[in-house]
Amino acid sequence: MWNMPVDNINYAVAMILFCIGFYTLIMRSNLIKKIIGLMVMQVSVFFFLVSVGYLTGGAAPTIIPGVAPSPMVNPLPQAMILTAIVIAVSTTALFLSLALKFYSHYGTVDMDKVKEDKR
Amino acid sequence: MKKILALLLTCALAALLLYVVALLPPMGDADNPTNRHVVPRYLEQGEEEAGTRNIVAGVVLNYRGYDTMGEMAILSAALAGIFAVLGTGRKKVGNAFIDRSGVQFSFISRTAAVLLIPLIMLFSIYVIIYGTDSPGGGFQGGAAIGAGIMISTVAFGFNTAQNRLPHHVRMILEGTAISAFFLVGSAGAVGGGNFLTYMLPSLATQIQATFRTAMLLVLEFGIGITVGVICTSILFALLREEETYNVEHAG
Repeated sequence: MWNMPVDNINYAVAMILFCIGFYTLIMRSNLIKKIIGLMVMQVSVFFFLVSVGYLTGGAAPTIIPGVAPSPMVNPLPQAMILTAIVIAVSTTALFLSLALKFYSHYGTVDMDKVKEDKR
Repeated sequence: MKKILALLLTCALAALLLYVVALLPPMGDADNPTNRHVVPRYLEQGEEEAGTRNIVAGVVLNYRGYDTMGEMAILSAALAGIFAVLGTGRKKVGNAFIDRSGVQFSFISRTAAVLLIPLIMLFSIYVIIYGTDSPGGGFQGGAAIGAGIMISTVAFGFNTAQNRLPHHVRMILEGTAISAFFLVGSAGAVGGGNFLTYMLPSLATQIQATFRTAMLLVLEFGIGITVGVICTSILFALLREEETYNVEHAG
């Protein structure tokens, strides 16, 4: 049961990346750094899902005519991540545009500075 | 204080996640639950059922066509949000920091762009057309189109690039691409099958395969155009906002 250190190193790295992104998201007051933390979290989830679909010695899931079929990796997570990456790009752009608006309104992207100014 | 609390929270989260990871079955094992449910069917019958040799494209376009359609709707919604926040910039003359920067667009970069951009466009169209039979597809080709337009923006400036591909042209392209997806999907329903089956049972069986390939090609091009337009629009919207900020705070 406790087979983690060797086999599931990809999963563990994905989880650690997720925690790094989470810490960045909650601790940094700079909006751009918050967005970077969110992106690290997204990428860790992509990494985790693609790793789940991996098959040892598996080929890319494309059928080549005339070649005997070999074991292939799981195509389902790849298809899901393909769409998720594009969604991640567009939502990140939406966050960045909101950060730009924030900057043009307050003159800073630091949320703590804005809070101090209000006091 | 706040820092220690956040660190503790993160450590607790990490411990929980790592504990769960340790209980997961080993990675890459053929007996894993993820490799047993629907996936063998996708891999064995994907070529006949979905009509694509590239199983990933078959899953995206056929088995999970609803997901892809919803995803295109999400992309349009995100783009609409960006336009609502930053403005659409319908005016013909855009301006951006890249146009006023002290670094002139050098001869070398312009020549390289002129040589590179046609090749990039050709490659993206190849990736889209052969996406059903080989690695590739609409998303990858669309990203390549967006990259080509980004190179032209860097080499020739924001104004030139935006006037080549103005806002209304981009919106017409995107609307056409998304409606094409819906039309192709409902063609199956009209022909007597289900939504997004790419089948017309009224047609002769010999034509069915050709018809399905044509429909999948339309879908791939629709996805490619949508992704390319989204990349371009995001780039232009963010560049333009930089300019408005500089004008507001320089004066």
